[in-house]
Amino acid sequence: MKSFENIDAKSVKEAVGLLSKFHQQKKLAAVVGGGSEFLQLMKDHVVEPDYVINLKTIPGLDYIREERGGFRIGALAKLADIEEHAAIRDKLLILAAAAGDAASPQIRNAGTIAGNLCQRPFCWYFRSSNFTCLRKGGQSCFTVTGDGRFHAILGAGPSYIVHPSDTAPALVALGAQIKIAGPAGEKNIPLEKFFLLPSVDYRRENILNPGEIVTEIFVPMPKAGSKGFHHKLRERQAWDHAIVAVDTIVESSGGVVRNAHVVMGGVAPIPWRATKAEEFLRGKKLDEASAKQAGELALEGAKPLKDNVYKIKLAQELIQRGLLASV
Amino acid sequence: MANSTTAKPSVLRVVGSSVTRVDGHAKVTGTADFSGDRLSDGQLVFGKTLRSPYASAEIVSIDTSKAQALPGVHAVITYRDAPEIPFEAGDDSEPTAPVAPVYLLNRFLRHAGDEVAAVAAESEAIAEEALELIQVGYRVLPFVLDENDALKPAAPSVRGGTNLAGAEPIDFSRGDIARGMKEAELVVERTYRTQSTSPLALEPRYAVASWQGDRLTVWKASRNVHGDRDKLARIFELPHDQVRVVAAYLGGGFGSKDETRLGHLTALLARKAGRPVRMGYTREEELGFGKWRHASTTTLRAGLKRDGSFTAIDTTSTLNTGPYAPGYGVASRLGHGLTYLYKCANARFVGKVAYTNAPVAGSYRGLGAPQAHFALESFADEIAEQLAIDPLEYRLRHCVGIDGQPGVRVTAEDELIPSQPIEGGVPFSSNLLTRCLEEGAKRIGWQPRPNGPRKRLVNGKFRGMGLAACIYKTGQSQSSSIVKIKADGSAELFMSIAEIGQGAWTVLRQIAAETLGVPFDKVHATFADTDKTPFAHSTSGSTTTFTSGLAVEQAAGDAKQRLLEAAAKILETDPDKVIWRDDFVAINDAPEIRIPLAHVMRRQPEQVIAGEAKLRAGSKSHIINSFAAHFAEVEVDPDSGAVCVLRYVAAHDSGRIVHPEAARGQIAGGVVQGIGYALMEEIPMDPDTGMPLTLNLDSFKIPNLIDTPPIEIILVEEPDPIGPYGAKALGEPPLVPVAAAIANAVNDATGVRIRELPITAEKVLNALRSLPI
Repeated sequence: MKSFENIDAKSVKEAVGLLSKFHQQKKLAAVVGGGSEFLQLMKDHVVEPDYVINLKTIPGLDYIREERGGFRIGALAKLADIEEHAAIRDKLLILAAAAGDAASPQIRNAGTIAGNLCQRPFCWYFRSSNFTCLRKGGQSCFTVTGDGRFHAILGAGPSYIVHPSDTAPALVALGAQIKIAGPAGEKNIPLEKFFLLPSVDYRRENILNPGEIVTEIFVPMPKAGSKGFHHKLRERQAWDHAIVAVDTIVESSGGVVRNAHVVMGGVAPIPWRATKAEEFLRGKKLDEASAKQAGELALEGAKPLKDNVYKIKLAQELIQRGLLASV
Repeated sequence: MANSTTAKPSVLRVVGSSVTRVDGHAKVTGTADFSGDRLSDGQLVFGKTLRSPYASAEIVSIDTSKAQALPGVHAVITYRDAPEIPFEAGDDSEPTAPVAPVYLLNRFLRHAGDEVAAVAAESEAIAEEALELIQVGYRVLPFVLDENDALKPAAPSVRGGTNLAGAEPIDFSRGDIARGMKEAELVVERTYRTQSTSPLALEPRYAVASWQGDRLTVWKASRNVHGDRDKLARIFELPHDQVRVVAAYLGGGFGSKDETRLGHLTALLARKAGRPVRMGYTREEELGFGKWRHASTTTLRAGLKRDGSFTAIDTTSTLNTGPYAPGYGVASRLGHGLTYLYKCANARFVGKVAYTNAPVAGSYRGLGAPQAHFALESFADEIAEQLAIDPLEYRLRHCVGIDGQPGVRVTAEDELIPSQPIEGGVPFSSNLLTRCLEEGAKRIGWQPRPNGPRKRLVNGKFRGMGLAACIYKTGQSQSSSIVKIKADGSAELFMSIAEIGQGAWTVLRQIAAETLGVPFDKVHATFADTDKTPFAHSTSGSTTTFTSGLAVEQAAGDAKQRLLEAAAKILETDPDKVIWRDDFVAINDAPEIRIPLAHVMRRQPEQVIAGEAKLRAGSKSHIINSFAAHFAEVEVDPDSGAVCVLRYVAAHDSGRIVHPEAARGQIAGGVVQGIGYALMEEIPMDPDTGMPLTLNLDSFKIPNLIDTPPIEIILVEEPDPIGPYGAKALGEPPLVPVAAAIANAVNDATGVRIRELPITAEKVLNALRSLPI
């Protein structure tokens, strides 16, 4: 690991100011929250910053507040706190479940919600110091001819990573907003627009510009008559990334869908919203046949690599299972 | 076998009880010295290794000047510094057919991660920085990763000769396969594959090397201090007594710990640096380059009668050994598993060890036996299903009994029977496999299923049960032991045995205490230091309790006898009338006449009484093998194919158990490793570069606590007539049958038969999808 200078930030403003300053000086600076992800990135030589700005020293950024319209979650709120929060378990169960599916209890006790959303890919080529892949400034994505069994089947190219966040698909399904602070002030955007496809920019996974940091997530209260589903398929039962994850929120009445959100994790470089399936479901009675068709629509256009064809069936069936569990 | 000089008492005081382990306190309080903990020498500098990014390449240029000029760098070594003495990457298996010689460092690199150069510097960080300053020009060469591809005519040559190590396959047999096939009423043939994996010991290995003039001392994670000493002496052309090797505590041995170039490279660096050097493996290096389990492809062809009995078993395995150190021993252990578990007059094993450009494979707990048992015990279930016989019933009827295999003894009458024989006509010293099967089946609640997989659905998930039997050698090795009795009534034991977490340092003391008749805490010991402890082979191969236990028993018996004889002289009586208690001796029928031990000792050289034993363990009349039967209950998610082990029962026949708690720990640990092997562990290589892809713990998956079921252990304990106090092997067997038991349970649950490890969700799901509903 390369040596670096640590700076304890006391406020969001200070952190943003430092980031902008170092950027202007052409120094590499990075922010750290829980640190569980960041430490590994440094040890793997993926990130080698000159300055590390510690956000944990900013007071009061780890709140979870219930308001009339929804929940406000500070960037530094820990995954374990979200997982165990009584009101979130009551009203946003899929978020609690997704947070609880991340990593291991030790990591959830350190890892923050913003850190979880800003994780770098866990692609074995990207993480290995033996490969300089496209995303690290190299010439190609090694999965194209290499071993891509855990990689993307949707929305990929020229990079085939899958987004590793467990909470992102749940939050996108819930219609969350993300608040970003930067040199020009604060902005709120739908979380869905936060993530970047590699065809737009294969060097980064989200829209954060130098000098910007995530400060808050807002999750609107689900509409009456909504029911959610979260499931993460993985090789072992803890401390593993999703092969396929599905998060759905279905608002229905008498078995007829008013509105459905269907989001997948583990299949694309971003949390993948199955808009065709969502449109198809609107006004439909949810039964075996319509759920199956929605699953098929969700995977329409999937372009698997040679080693990950199995993900298509897995995702279709998991969506079907999720939808049937949502009425 | 070795003759014991003392009669075995009918009631044991120390053997068979779970005394407090001698390494326990140091380990749980963090004071135990592991190989990387030797930092006290202020002169110490730190080594790091530069590794090849290519699976096959020639170094056409190498410039170390920038690295050497970096402040804090003490030495850089490349192939130009390597002694011109062939060195086959660590272990004892030397090539038997002409191949290009290899040295400690080489101009030709034969696997991704092969050692290119090493640096010693003031800190690991400086050493790492220096590695980046070494400029290497590579000529990239064609390579081959898969063992079956390597044996095709067009494959690139890995070692300059044929890729079949030894040029001829290993080929051993008993009876006549052709005749057996003719007698068959049906012939079944299947092929099974197993993957590369790493033992992933908790402690990454380290070595510390220090030169005092022409004398070399190496502290390392070693299971074989004398073997390491001999190899170091050979490479550095030193007399053996100029080299000292000391083993620290090992945080897990699992077979692979000392079989790399690490100790030798560290010594070479230290000589060039003129400073003691510490060098170790990172977790990535451990996973990628710490020696793997051989990937294998095994084809079984059986001739059978309608009742399921074998008329012939014809087996062929191809093993992926990487470019160095052909694993003939691994292949032959695979062959033993395949040809000896079921009664069969006609058996043959053909083992092809293939050189490839995959990282080096070596010893890993069980060697070829887990590969063999996955194939054979899956195969047995497939046969049982075809013949509509319950899998348990099939084993009870057809597994080998105490009388051994049919056939004619080949070993000469005055020679020791091999621990992994192929010949028939030799009985086992003990064989409680039937009891293991019966007691295990009872514990898990086995329901006969003669009609094949039941595909039961419980709460929306498939549920099934499977079993596998296991035969494994009790390793028969060479060891020696010195036991000294001191004036205060204590004793000291000297042996070259490593504590790899298995409990050897406790168990050997228990045997000494039992034989001497002293309390356990009166036995002190010095282990694994070539300057102090007598010769022993490697602490490996499930032989320490057996071979070294016999050596301790004999040496302790010898010491006690000498003491009694010396005391008898003073007491003017017969030795068998003398009793020894604490720090005095007395005459049996006049116990009030006591002589202090000190008085006896005064007349002895060095004022101690020493007993000694050197032996090669074994039997001229019997095969000494251990047995086990494992049972798994699994749940399979029909939507994802994911397998979850719900319950596990392991029943073992390892003779007398010396330390029950340690034995249970060995079994539980082996089962967990076996579950990882069965379900998730795998080290895929990038097909374009040959670089291993799962070099960290997020991608190389081993079972978590949550993946680990309750493990119920049954010790079917009956003393073996040959082992020390009746003990047989236990170290490796617990991992051996696990994958097959799980594969068979998955088959019962789903009807799916997975013939390639690991049994991932993907494979199960794909197979489920292709089944007729």
